[in-house]
Amino acid sequence: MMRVEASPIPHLIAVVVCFVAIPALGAWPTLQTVANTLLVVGLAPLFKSPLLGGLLASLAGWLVELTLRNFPMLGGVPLANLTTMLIAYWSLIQWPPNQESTFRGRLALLVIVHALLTTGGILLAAGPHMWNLWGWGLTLATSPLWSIVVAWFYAPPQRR
Amino acid sequence: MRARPWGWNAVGRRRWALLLLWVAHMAYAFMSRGPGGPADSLSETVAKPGLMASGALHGWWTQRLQQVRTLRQAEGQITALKNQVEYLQKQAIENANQVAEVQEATRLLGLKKLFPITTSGARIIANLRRAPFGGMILDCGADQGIRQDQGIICPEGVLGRIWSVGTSQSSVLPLDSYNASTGVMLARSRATGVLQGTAPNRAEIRYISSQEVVQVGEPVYTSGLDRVFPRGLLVGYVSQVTPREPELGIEVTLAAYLDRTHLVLLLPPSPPMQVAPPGLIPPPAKGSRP
Repeated sequence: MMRVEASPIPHLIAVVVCFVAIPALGAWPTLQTVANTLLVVGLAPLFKSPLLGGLLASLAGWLVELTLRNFPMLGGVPLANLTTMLIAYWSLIQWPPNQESTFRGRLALLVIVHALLTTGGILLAAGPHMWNLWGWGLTLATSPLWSIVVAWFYAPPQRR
Repeated sequence: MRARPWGWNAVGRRRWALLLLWVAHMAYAFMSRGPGGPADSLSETVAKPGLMASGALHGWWTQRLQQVRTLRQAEGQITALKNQVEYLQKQAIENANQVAEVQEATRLLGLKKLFPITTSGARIIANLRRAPFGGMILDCGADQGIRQDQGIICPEGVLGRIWSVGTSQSSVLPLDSYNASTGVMLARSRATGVLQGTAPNRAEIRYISSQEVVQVGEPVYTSGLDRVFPRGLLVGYVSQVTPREPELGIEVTLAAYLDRTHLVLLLPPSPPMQVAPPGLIPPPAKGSRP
């Protein structure tokens, strides 16, 4: 099945909004996690070029590490972001979603993968660290909401 | 013909670039492990604008939350603050004893470190000094090797000695008891005498010749002659001197707070006469007896 390209303008706007939100929400790590994960799991893999998506995902990770003093600035989050984005992109190529429900389920699964990879990345880069449980919890809890937007970006124009 | 995915074509170059990006991140994470990595100062500089922006946003939000627009809101805030103050006061009262004990224990540990002989700590579990024939009860006894006449000190000074020893408790004879006698010396003249209790927190020094010059406020130290306390421990200060014959009436206010002390140090039985390191014992005054 051919890969469906995401709608350019709203998609770009959503990416820009996420990039503004990540540094702005530095004082609220829980909300910042939602913005970061949405970008990594939902928006970055929708770019046609995985290189562009990867760059954006790692940039978002660096922004998180630069603005959030809870995480040491040692590259754990960008590495996790990049890896998660590549997994998400690869899964989209391998198994293009046919149904919205399965796509949304996949996004929720990717949130968990991202949480594990981020914690692993921080563990690798900085040693034992606390889990951002509230952040991942909120991201997972709100996934039914933001996955609608991501699915809308992903759907062919005639189905929007 | 299909392009080779890892060859030097558009797809391949993109893949190599992605791989390079991933490897670079992994290498960075590995290389800059632990605090004080190579990019710390750079990242701090780069982070400043973002931190300032998020800080400003957070400040604005906090200010907005704290704004009071209606009387009802103000009343609600006042009630909440009252509750908070009440809760904190309650907590402070509940914790006051523990805080005091921790402070006392810290001072006692400092004293223990300064003291060059082995001492052991004990807790006063009952203070019945004001009662007839009363005293203080310690939480250690014969089971911990406590023996009669061991000296007891606290950070402020000398407190008393062990009077009787039970299996797991001991009673203390404080310095201000009528039947307590302690060998002391005056700081200035080095004249030695015997301290005997007269009233709560007060005692008098016996057997000091009326020829001696004693000043009010002069410190009184243990003389070490009774072999209960080593020489040079602070006992109290001279509060009143009455010229009498054949000996001076010297009243002493004790340095130790006998009513407020909860933790003490026990000296070993029959300690050496001189244990204080040089400098702790005041040098003899000019013209005094050696």
